[in-house]
Amino acid sequence: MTFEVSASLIQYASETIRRLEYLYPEAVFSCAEDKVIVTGLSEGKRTELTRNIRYGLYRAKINDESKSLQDLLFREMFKR
Amino acid sequence: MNVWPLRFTDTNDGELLFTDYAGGYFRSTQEFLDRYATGELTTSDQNFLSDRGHAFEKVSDLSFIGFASRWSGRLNANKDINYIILVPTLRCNLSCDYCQVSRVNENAKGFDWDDKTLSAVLRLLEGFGTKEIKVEFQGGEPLLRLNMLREVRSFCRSHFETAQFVVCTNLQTVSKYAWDFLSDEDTHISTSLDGTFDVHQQQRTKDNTTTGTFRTNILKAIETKGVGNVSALPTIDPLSAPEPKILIQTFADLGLHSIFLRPINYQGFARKRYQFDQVNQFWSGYYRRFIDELIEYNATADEPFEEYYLTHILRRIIQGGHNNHVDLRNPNWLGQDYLVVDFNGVLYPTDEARMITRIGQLDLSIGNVHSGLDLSKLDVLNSDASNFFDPDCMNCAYQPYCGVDHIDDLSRYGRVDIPRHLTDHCQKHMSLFDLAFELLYSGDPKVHNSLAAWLNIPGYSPHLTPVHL
Repeated sequence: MTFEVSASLIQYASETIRRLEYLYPEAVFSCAEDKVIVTGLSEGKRTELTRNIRYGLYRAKINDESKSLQDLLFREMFKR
Repeated sequence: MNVWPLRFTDTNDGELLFTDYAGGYFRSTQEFLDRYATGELTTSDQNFLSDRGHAFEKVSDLSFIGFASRWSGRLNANKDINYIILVPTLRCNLSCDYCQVSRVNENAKGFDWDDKTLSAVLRLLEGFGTKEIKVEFQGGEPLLRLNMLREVRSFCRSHFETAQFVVCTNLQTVSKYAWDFLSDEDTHISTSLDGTFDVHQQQRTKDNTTTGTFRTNILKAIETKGVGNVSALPTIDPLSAPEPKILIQTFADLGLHSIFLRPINYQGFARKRYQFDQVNQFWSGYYRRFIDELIEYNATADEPFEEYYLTHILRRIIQGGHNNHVDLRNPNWLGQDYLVVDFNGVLYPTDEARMITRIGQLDLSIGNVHSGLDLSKLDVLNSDASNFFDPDCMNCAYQPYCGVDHIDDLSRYGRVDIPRHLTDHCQKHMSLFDLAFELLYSGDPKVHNSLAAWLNIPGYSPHLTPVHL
């Protein structure tokens, strides 16, 4: 199965795949240009996988972009 | 505007629940998720997030300070010790099928504190820097060592400004002297009642006479101590659980209004007798049926009834804090505010750790009353005490309300680093948080009635359930 990823999210594909690999240990994930390619899962999993890839990309992006806010919160709360 | 990071999870009706680090939450749509994640928030989105405290303009503005305060208010701060479980004996006068705490026969030798251990326990208590202490006497059956209980209680009353005592007793054999001991105001009774008296007999007391004695004693305890000073914990076999309605009625007939519904514990000698892998799904279904029945019961009852742990979860979601349950806190510091002293003077961070050690699975002792705490071992146990940086938890919408329980992980898997979503602790709590939010967002007035009682608020309010469309 192949899943297209928008240009703004493709940089988060590797991290998303790392997480999906242990959520779906029976599958093999790879990334090529603007696509995530999945083998080893049945077509019946497509809807679920589409959602989880999208969520995974979003989560990776949110985490990446919010590191500075998390650092700020910890720094401000624990500074003495 | 800076939006605090939002985590999200599917709800059962196609929408999404969003939460922030500080436990703020709201429901919204897939379209909002797309806009948020791709940086295309509308003015309406921004106004909602700002109004609800999910965003700030600059460090030290009121929005930032408010958020930081809510976030820190949820943390389990490292506190001085204020709770201790004492096991003066492992001997017990019952032999329950699944004995949760390891026990030995009533006449066994060598399973009690000796005078030297008692003295060391009192020295340990003397060294605590706290003004308040809560002492829980466990066993075995602690009333078999009433003299030790007296010594400890007398010492604590004179040494601490405030001292509270809980005697965890099977209420099977209670002498006149034991009733005298239990009658004091600062002393509470915690006993077991396995749902109904029939089940209790099947699992614990075995015959009519013994069950009758227990029934007489629990009624006497409630009558003399008052219902607020007696709790009864059921241990439920998920494969033959009593009907929820009957269970609730049994407790209500005794005047009790709270029940901590627990399945047979995976730890302790129980693990040798039961097939735990098969029972989780039964338990989950049973628990939901029980809560449904509870909501029905409360709709017409004069006195509302609660399931302790669901109430605890709801309060952690709505109010934050509530760090008094050692299986659910973040960070979950071990050996800090809470200790267990076994019959041989060995110290443990939790009662579960004592059981795991007792069955020979893993030595989770952290010192003894004679030589003190093993700080290097405690450092190891506390090296990963929070869920902040766990690769699963950091993506979980329920992270602010949840916690870690490494003792449970060690017990079940022998390690603490398996993917979180595969752990029993995670699966159980995901299910509970799903249920809690399902109830919070329910439109059923009967659910609202129970929620108000459980949250101890005058009435249900739509403010509890923000939605952004």
